[in-house]
Amino acid sequence: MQFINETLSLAWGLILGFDSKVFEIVWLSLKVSLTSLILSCLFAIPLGIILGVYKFVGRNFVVLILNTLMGLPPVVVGLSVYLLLSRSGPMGWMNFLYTPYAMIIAQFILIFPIISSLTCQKVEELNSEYKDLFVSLRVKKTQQFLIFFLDSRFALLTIFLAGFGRAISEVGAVIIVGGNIDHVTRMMTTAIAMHTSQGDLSLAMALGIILLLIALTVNLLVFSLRLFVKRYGYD
Amino acid sequence: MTNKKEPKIEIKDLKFCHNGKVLLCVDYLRIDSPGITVIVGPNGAGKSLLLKLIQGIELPSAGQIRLNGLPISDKRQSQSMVLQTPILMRLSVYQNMSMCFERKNFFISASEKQKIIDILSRVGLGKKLSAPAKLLSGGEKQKLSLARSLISNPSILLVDEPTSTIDPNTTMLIEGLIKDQSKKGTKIIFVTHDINQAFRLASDAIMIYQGKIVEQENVISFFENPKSDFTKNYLAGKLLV
Repeated sequence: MQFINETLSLAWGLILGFDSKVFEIVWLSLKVSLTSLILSCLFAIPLGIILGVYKFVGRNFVVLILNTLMGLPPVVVGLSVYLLLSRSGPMGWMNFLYTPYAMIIAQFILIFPIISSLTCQKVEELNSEYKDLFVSLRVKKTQQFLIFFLDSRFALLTIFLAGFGRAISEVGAVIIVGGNIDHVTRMMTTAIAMHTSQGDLSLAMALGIILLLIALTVNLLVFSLRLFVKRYGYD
Repeated sequence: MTNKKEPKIEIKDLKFCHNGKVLLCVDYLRIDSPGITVIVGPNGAGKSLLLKLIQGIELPSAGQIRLNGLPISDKRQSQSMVLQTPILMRLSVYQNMSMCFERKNFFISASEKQKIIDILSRVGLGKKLSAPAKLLSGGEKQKLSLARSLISNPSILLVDEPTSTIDPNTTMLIEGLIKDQSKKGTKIIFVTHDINQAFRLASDAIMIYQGKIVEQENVISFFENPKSDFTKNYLAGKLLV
């Protein structure tokens, strides 16, 4: 027990002392996760809206694939991106392997199906709810898209936070394509795994606490958002 | 009255079937009189279904509906419909209007914004522009739904029992708004099962029973000298089907 207390005490010391090594890792993790999340949203939300509104040949197949990819094992993604970006791979000329760009690509692939699939589900619900309204008022397709986006804004924000949760806590893919290089590609999760195996438990614990605090903040935001939406009639 | 040309609705050999059962069958129906045409009939007669078919919400199994000689799906058509149960978006009162408003550009101009505010003020929602639409009372929701249909200044307005669940004061206000719109030249087709309301509003009336048109007359003939036995019994309150 004393051992745990000592580790915790050292970990809190690192956090409250704003240890540069700890916060460099945290900052890189946030940068990579947020970049991959924003890029995913830019492509996945429009795709989700299109899949939710239009019924075209092959649409069900695309939805099925996206739903399947939601449970994609991160190590498989890591391996696939590694093969693509390795020197002899088709995208090797980009020299992205073992850089933050490679980690962004891996996280993008992991988050994209989650964002697009959940957006599609939400828009499908809205489309069946508003179908008669759109015909009764002859609302144009372009306006319908805007309505779906605005109407589901709180749901999209929750989806956004779910995607962020997946990205920030991911370890399997980023360790393969990033290589966990100090000052370059060392993320919170990869650093925790490495420092634990090296016996540097205080640093691993400090990063673990910060990761938990980030998860807590995200959940708190989702919870507050739900309360706000219910209270102000946007449910 | 405006100089708007009276819109003509023409229905031929219309049939709507669901699960093998014929729910509506209209051999021929022509609505081209000015003012308010009221469609009356008991619950389940097919009144709302007829309105939904005219608007294009439901598609007929057979037959055709033409507005001014054009199919209802034609982009030049300018009719809108007030649904029995208002469908409101999870947006503010103002946004519920502006999002369904056919604007010239992506952003709403100052004059378009003023038009929205004017119509909302006309229906008594001028002070609730930023209120969430979902938190309005039943009557206010129906008023917003009506305002939203009026914003595009339609040539035909289809109204499906908008006052069936609201209080008498709001009912009178909505009836007043509909009469005003009719005077401005919009052809109104109003569905109700309330005989008194039909009498208050109608310039001509159509009786539907079991998916068929039983009678179509001007308001005086319809109420004072109905031709069909069914209409006579219904107006006398005898039919309880």
